Amino acid sequence: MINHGSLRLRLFILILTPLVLLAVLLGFWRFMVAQKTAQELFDDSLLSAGLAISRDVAISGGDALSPTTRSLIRDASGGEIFYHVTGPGGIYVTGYAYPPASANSSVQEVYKPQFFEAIYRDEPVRVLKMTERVTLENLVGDATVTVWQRMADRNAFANELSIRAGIVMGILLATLAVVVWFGVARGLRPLLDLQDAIDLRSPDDLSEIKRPVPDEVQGVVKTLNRLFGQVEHSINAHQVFISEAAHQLRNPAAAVQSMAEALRDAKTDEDREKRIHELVSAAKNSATVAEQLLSLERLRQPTHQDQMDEIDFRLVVEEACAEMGVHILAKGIEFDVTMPEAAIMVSGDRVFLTEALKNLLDNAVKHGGTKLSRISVVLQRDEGAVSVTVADDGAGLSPDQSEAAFSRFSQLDYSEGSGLGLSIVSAVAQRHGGSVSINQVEKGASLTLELPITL
Amino acid sequence: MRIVIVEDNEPLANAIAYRLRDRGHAADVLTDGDAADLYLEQESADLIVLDINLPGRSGLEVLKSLRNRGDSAPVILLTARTETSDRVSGLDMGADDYLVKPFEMDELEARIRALSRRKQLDYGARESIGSLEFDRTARQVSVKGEVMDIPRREIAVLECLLERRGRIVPKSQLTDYVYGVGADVEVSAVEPHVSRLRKRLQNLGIKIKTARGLGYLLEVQK
Repeated sequence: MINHGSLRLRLFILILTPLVLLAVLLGFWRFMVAQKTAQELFDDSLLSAGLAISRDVAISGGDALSPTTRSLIRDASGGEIFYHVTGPGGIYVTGYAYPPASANSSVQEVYKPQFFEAIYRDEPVRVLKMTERVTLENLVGDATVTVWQRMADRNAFANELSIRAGIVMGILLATLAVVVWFGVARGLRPLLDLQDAIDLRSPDDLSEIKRPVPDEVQGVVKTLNRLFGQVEHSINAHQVFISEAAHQLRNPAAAVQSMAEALRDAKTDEDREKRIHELVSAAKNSATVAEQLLSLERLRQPTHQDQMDEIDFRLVVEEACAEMGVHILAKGIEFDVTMPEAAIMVSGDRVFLTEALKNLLDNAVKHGGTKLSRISVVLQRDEGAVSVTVADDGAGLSPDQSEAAFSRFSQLDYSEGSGLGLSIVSAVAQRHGGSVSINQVEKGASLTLELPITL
Repeated sequence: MRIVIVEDNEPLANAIAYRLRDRGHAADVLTDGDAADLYLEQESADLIVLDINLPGRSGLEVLKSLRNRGDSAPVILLTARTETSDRVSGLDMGADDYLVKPFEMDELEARIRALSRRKQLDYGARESIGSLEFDRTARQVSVKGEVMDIPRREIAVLECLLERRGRIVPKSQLTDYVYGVGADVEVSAVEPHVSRLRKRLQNLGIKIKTARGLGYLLEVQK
């Protein structure tokens, strides 16, 4: 299973990531706006300083600045303002010796104030250049006022504006993060409560979960409840099987024990000999029942495709017949097998198929009764299927007894069988997509196992 | 022959040992994997009957270290019906045969007999079956010390059925045994030999039964 990490972390990341992205965008926008604002503000103050200087120069005839103007220049919000004034004809009037040069000197509108950026003594500066037509001591000409200011100050101002906005946003995000982190935990509480409730259950408690849960979890709880139901059903089936199995094993085990005791108490050699044989057959019976129970239990497990092989069904029939034939012939019963020449391929589990056939034969031997004198096996290939029929001339079995005959632990009449054999055959048939049925015959019993063949 | 039985189900191991000792062999019983491994490292065995599920190390591990030591003693594996895959890996690891539990003692003996013939071990040159005595090396059958005059092919039939006593021998197998594998004869060719042999033996307490369409079974009457 892929680990998806904590639900809380997932929600946390999902909610906060877009918010952080948005905050970054907003911060950038705020920074741009701040820059623009700072520029406008500072340009305004530069303009007013320029105008004041220009006025002073006009009044004083180019000599000095008034104290008001000087204090305006000194205390300007963007730091010290430098100035340079030239009179008509480009004559130096007052201020600093060299103004920063304009980058583009080809100016169309000469009398419009121009703002531009330049380097002055290795520092970036913002420059305002105003040219006015003046009359100075009867001279008429263009007077130019240049004022400038260091950019560092205005940048600092813009930065400060941005930082302040950043701090506000940071605080907001942090608050949100805390709220989301704890809020999600709180929102997930019903889920954790559900987990605790399931944790506290005893392993035997497979009853439904009835506690109220949020809508989103209802599906999970419903599935869980269904699974609980299935598990309980399966456990019950197992318990029934185990208790029936124990009963089944008790009978032959008891037979072995009593026969062994009878053997110990035998008075004559003849008795002893007879009881030894009975003991051996009782023990064999007991082993058979245990084997059959194991087969049934394994048949309950789901089929794995890798257990299915392509096999020649004739070999399966031959193996089962050779093994069971020994017992059949030993009882003085005639046994014949008819098989076609060509291979018949089926897809199946060899062990199970052999088991099914052996149980069919075992059933014929055990339930045939005293009249039984002959058992025959006929293997036939039909259209798309293979059928093997085991027929005997013993006590009969009719099709209307099918249900009882094929169900587990049932016997139609008392015999040494366990009542498991035919249910194994039936389970194997089902597992291989085939069927087993009782045929209508005049005398004895005839059962047919049919399986689909692979082409 | 010296046979080592490694099986943790003690009653089963003892039963096998009794049977083999009754046949005149030396049988040693070991009930866990580690002990078996140690024992087999020091002592040599002519044949090993080895269970797969053992306490200590598993039968397959015992087999593996046996073969790694270069010991080629024939091994018959005993497996439960559910251990199908173990069976296959066991044969891959160099086991010679396997037997699924529960099995008939006759079946185990037949396997041991067949295996020792294949490996040219001496499982018993002389064997008595009912009132009949069979000398494997001389290929002679005698009753109460008197040698019976039986044709060669019938002796071969008897030998084959004896070797697989307790099992139904398919007709094809019998034909292969009597005429050699791949011989150009009909499977039905053995039928007259079998029926003549059957007549010869019927008064000696030995029956040859026919499972029609399948093969023959040798049965000794008690």
